[in-house]
Amino acid sequence: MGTSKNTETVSRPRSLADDLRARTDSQLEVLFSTRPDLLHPVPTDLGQLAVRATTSPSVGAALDALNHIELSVCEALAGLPDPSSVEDVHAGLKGANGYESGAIDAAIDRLLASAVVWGDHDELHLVRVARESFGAYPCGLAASFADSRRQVREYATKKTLAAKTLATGPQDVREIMDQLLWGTPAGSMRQANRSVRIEDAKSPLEWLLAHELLVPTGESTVVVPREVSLALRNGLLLKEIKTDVGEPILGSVDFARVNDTGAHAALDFVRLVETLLEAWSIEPPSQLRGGGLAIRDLSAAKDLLRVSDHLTAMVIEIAFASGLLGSDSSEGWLPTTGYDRWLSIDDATRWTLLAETWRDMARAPHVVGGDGGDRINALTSSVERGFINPLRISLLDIFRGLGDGTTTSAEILTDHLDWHRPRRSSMVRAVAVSAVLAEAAALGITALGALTSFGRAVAQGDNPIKVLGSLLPDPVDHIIVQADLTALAPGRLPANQRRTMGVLADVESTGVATTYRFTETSIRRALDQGQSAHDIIDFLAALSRTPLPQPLTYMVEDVARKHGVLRVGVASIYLRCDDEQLIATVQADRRLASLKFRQLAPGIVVSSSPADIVLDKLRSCGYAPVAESAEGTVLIHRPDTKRTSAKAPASPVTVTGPSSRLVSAAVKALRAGERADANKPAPTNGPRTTTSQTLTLLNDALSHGKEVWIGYADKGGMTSERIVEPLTISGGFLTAFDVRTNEVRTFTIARITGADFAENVNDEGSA
Amino acid sequence: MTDGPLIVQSDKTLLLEIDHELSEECRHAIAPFAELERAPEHIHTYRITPLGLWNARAALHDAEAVIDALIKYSRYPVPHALLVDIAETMARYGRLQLHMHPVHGLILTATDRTVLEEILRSKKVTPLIGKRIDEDTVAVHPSERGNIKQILLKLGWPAEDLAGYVDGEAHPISLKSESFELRQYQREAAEGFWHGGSGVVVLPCGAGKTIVGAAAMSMAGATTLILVTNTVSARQWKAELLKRTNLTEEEIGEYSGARKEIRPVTIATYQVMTTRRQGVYAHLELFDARDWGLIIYDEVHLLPAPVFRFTADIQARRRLGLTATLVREDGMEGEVFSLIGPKRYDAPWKDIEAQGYIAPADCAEVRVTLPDNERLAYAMAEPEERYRMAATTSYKNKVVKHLVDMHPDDHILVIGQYLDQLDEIATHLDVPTITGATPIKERERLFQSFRDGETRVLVVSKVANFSVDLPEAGVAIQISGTFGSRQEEAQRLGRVLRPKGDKRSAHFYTIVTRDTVDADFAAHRQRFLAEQGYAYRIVDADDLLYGTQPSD
Repeated sequence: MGTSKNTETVSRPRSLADDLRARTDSQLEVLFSTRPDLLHPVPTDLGQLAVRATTSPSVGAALDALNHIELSVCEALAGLPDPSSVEDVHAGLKGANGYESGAIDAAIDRLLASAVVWGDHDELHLVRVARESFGAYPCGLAASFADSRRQVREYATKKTLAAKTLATGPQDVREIMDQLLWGTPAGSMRQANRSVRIEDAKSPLEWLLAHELLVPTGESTVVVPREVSLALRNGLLLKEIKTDVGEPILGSVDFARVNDTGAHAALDFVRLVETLLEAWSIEPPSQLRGGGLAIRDLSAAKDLLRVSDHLTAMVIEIAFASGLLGSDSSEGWLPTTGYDRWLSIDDATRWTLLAETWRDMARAPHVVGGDGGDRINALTSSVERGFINPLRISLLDIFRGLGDGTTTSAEILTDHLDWHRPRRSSMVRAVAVSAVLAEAAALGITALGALTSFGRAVAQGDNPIKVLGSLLPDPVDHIIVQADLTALAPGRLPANQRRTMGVLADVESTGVATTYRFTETSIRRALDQGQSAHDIIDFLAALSRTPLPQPLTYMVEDVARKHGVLRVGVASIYLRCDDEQLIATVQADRRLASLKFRQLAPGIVVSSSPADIVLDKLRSCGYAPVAESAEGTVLIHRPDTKRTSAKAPASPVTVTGPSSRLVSAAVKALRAGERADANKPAPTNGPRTTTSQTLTLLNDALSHGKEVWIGYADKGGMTSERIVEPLTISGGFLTAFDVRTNEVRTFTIARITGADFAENVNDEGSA
Repeated sequence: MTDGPLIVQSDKTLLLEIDHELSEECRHAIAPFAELERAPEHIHTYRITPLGLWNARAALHDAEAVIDALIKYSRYPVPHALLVDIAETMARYGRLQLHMHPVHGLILTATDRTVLEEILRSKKVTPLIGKRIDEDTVAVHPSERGNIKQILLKLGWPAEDLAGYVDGEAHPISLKSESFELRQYQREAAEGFWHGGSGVVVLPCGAGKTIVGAAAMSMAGATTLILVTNTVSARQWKAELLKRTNLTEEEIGEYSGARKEIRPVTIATYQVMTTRRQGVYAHLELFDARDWGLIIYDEVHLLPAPVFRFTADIQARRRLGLTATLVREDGMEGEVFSLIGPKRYDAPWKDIEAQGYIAPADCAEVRVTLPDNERLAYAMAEPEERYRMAATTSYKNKVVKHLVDMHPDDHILVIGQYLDQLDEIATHLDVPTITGATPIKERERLFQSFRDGETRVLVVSKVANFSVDLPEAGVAIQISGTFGSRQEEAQRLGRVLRPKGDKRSAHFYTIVTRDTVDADFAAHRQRFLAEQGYAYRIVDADDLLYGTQPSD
C-alpha cells in the first residue's frame, strides 16, 4: 500500500508460483504451518508447491480454517474483479456492520501468508478454486451488464438513479428487489427473454425488466445486474461482518468442586462400562448380519445401565474402540481378553484407557439410533464421522485455553466455532458440539461446565492417572444390610466383593453407592454358582456393618433347603430290571465297560450311549434285552414290510392348440437361433468393430429396423453372440429385442465387442 | 467433599443414613421435594420424581433451594446431570397458570409463549379450551378445570392453579379445645393443607386422621361433605365429630344405603356415591346438593374411579384427602395428585410411633408347610384356585389356635379373606364372626362388646380392614388376604396400632403357606411395611407348635 503502481510493476508477481518464489524462508514456514497438508508429501520445488496449493482439496481445507473476517474478505475479493487492491476491499466493506479497518488489514495479511490470496496490496488475487467456492454469485452479485445494456450503464454511472427509479415503481416491485438485493440475485419467470416496454409492463417483474433492474439470462431466468445491486447497496459488498465473539466463557465455579464432581462422573463411567460388559459376558448380544448391534439389544443395554440412549451408545462404542469389546462370529459381542486385564487394574488407569480412546476415536456415538431408513446401528462403521475427532480435539483445545474453574456451554462453544470456523457451521456441527460436551461430562473430562484437572491432562496428552487417582474416593469396605432384604454399599466396593454382591443380589440403584436387593432368585443364582448357604451368610456377615437381619438369613437358608432337591441330568438310555443282581452283573461286566453305566437307583442304570449300540452290545454279550418305548411298552422288532400311501392317478390333461402369437414368437426365436448358430463364424466370438463404428451401425439399424449381430462381453469377460433388434440407444445403453431369447434386454454399449447387420452375416454365411 | 448423611445417586434416588447426626436436619431439607420410598432400619430411600419436584414448586421451593439442600447434605459430589435435570424439571411448573379473569372467567396464561403453543397443538387440550384471548392467554371452559390440569400434567407442563376456591356456605365449626389438644403433627397437617388450598395428608392408621379432618373443618368454617368407605366408618366419623367439635347431632347427616340425610355436615359412603340406577350414578348430585365449602375424602387411596370423574368437576371447592398410604394398587397416584391435590403432609409411621401416639408393633410371619396330600392337590390345581387352596389350608387353624393361646390377655382379631375359612376358624376357636353378611346392627353390637372387653377374640372378614375403630385390639392374625395388596396389609396392621393403655406393644402375625403363591403374595404385601421400618420375623409353624428345629 502507498507505493505508486509504476515503481512496483516490474517486481509484481504474475502468478502464485512467482509470489512463492519471492517469499522468504520464514514466510514459507508460516505457510506450511498454517496449511500442513502441503507438507504431505514435501513438494520438490516451488512450482509444484504452487500447483499443490491451488488444488481443490488443499484450498478447501485452507478455507475451512478461516475465521469469519478472513472468509468475508475472501468473499469480498471473489465479488470484486481479479485483481483488486486493498483499497477496493476496504471500499466494498466500509459501510458494513461491524467493519473495522485494522481487522480487515490483518485478515488480508493472514490470507496472503497462507497463499489463499497472492500478489501484493495493490493487486490481490484470490486463487481460482477459492473464488469458485463462493458459487455463481459471490457477495450476492451477478454478472456485469454495463457493456450490453444501456440502462444498466446509466445505473452504474449515476449512483442514485437505480434507487430513484425503484421509488417510482409499485410497492411489490420494491419487495421483490429487497429479496434479491442481499440474497441470491437471480430468479425465474416465464418468457423472461422478451423485451418489455415500460408502458406495457403489467406485473412487477415486467416492470423491473422494462427498467432493466432485472435482466434476462435465459428463457426463464432473470438476474439483478451487478451494477444495479451495487448501486442499491451503496457499493457495499457485504451487509455485515460479525465481530469476534470473544472468549467462550460462561462463568466460573469452584475448581475443587469441578474436580470432585468430575472424579465421580469418571468412576460412574467406568462402572457403566463394567456393568455392561459383565452382563454381556454372560448373555452376549448377537451380531447383526451386516455387523453391529441390534436396536433391541441397544435398548436392553439402556434399561440395564439406566442412562440415556446417547450415553448407552457411548459406553458401547468406547468399549469397542478401546478393545474391551469384540465380536465373535458364533457368540456375538463379547468382552475381550483385554477386558480381563482391564478389570484387574486400578480405576484411574481403567478410566484413562476409556478417556483416551474417546479422545482419539473417529466414532460419533450420538448418531446411533434415528428413525426408519436412517437408522444407524451401534458398532457399525456408519457410526464413524470424519469430522468428529477434529471437532473433539478443537473443543478440548478451547477448554484448555480457559482457566481452572472457568465454565462454558454448548451454545457458547457453537457460537465460538461458528465465528472461528464459519465454513463448517451447520446444524450437524451444533448437534455434535452438544453431544461432545455431554460425552465429556459423562466421562468426567469436564464437570459443571469446566475442564477437570485430569480432563486437562487428557486434553494435553499427559498422563492423568496420578491426578485422577488422588481425587477418587477410597473404596468402602462394608455394606449395610436391612430387614427389607436390601443392602447398601455406601461407596465403591473392591472389585471382588462387588462381583460377589452382584451374584448374591440384584442391583436396584446405582451411582456412587449401590443398592442391592436379595431375592430368592438371586440367592438361587449364587447357589447355582457353587456357593453354600453358609458361604453366603459368612460373606455377608463379614461385609455388613450391622448384624444380618433375620428375614435375610431365613431366606438364604430356606432357598438353600430347597436347592438341588430335584436333579436334572442327561442320559441317552436307561436299563431297568427287577432283578437287582442282574443289573449289578451288567454293571460289573468288563466287556460292557465302554457303555459307562451309572446307577441311579436300585434296578436302574443309565448310559450316554445310543440305544441301538447298547442293545447290540448287550446281545453280543449274551444278554437278552428288549427295547422300551417312551410309554414303557415293549417294542417288538421285526422286519417291516413296506407300503406306500395310495395316490390317485393323474387325470388326463386336455390339450388345446397354442395361440398364434406363441407360435409366431416361437418361430421367430427358432429362426433367430438358427441364424445365429448357422451363420456364426465359429472362432471369432462375434464381429469386432470399434465403439464408434458399433454406434453408427446400431443407430443405422435402429432407424431402419434391422437386426444386428453383436458380440457381447459379460462381467467375466466371456464374449457371447446375439442377434438383436435395437429399440432405443441412450446413455451408453442399448435396449434391444434379443431374438434368440425372445425378450427385451438392455446392453451396455461399452461391452459390445462389435456389431454387424444380421443380413450381412447371412450373406456371408451363404457366400 | 463433606461427610454428609445423604448419598445422591445418578438414578435420582437419595439414600439417607438415619444413624447420622445430621439425618434429621437433612430429612427436613429434602422432604419437600423427595418422596420417601422405603424407610427400613438403617437407610431410608427417597426418590426425586417430577411430581415431587412440582410439589415442591407448588410449595414455593425453588430449584436453587433443592440443589442447595442436595449439595449441602450430600456425602459425595452430586452428579451434574442430576442438578441440570432438577432445574429443568422444576422450571416446567408454573409456566402455565390457571386464573380467574373478571371478564373471561377461567383462563390459562403462559409465561412462556412457546409452551402455550406446544400444548395448544395437543389434540387432548383442544376440546377443553375456548378462544384465544391474547398471545399468552386462552380461555378454558370452567367445567374443564380438573381435566385440563390432568392433561397438562401428563404433557409434562403442570399448571399452577391460582383460580382460587369458593368459600361455600358458611357454617362455623369449632374444636372442643377444652377437652383435648391437637397433637403437633395433627396441627401441622391441618395447617399444611389449609395453606395449600387442597391436597392430601398422609398419616398412619391410628394417628388421628379424623381429628385432622375436624381441624380442617374448623378452619374452613363451612358446610362439609365427608366421603368415607362404608357405613360403619361413617358412624365412627359422626361419633368422633360429636366428641371433638361443637357440632350437634342435628347438624350431621348420614348419606348411605340406609339413610339419605343432607345436613350442613354430611357423611356419605363411596358405595352409595357409585351406586348406579339404570346406568346412571344416582347420587352424584349430592356434590351439588349444598354449596359445600370443604370436601373430605377419607382413605383417598381407595377413591373409586367415578368419584374421580366427579371430583374433576368440583375443582373450585376445597378438597382434603386423608390416607395412610398413597400407594394405590391401580397406579392412579397421578389422578390423586392432579384432582385432589398435592401431598401436603407426610410423616413416617415409625416417627409417630416414636412419639408414643401409636403402639409399637411386633410383626411376624409364621410359615406353615402344606401337608403332603394337599401339596399334591396344590401342584395339580388350576392357577386361579391356587391362592385360595394354599391360603386356606386347615393346618392354619391349628396355628391360629396356638397364637390365640399365646396371648391370653390380649384382644385378638383374626382377619381373613375367605368366608368358609373364617367360619371354620370361628368354630374351631368358638368365637363370633363378622363378615359382609352380618347385619350392621349385629356388627356394631359385636364391635362394641369387643371394645368393652366382653368378647376377646373376633374373626373378621375384610369389612374390618378400614376405619373400624377398635382401640383395644392388640393382636392381629392374618390368615388370608386380597392377593398381594400392600395397602390392605397396611390397613390391617393399623388395626392394632392404637396406643394401648399400658403401652404394651402390638402383635401382628401373618400366617402363610410355604412354597406356594401365598408366600409370594405375602412377600409383596410385606414390602410396604418393611419399607416403613416394620421388620418381619419369620417363624416356622413347627417351631412354634412343637418347639422343634426344622429338619434339613
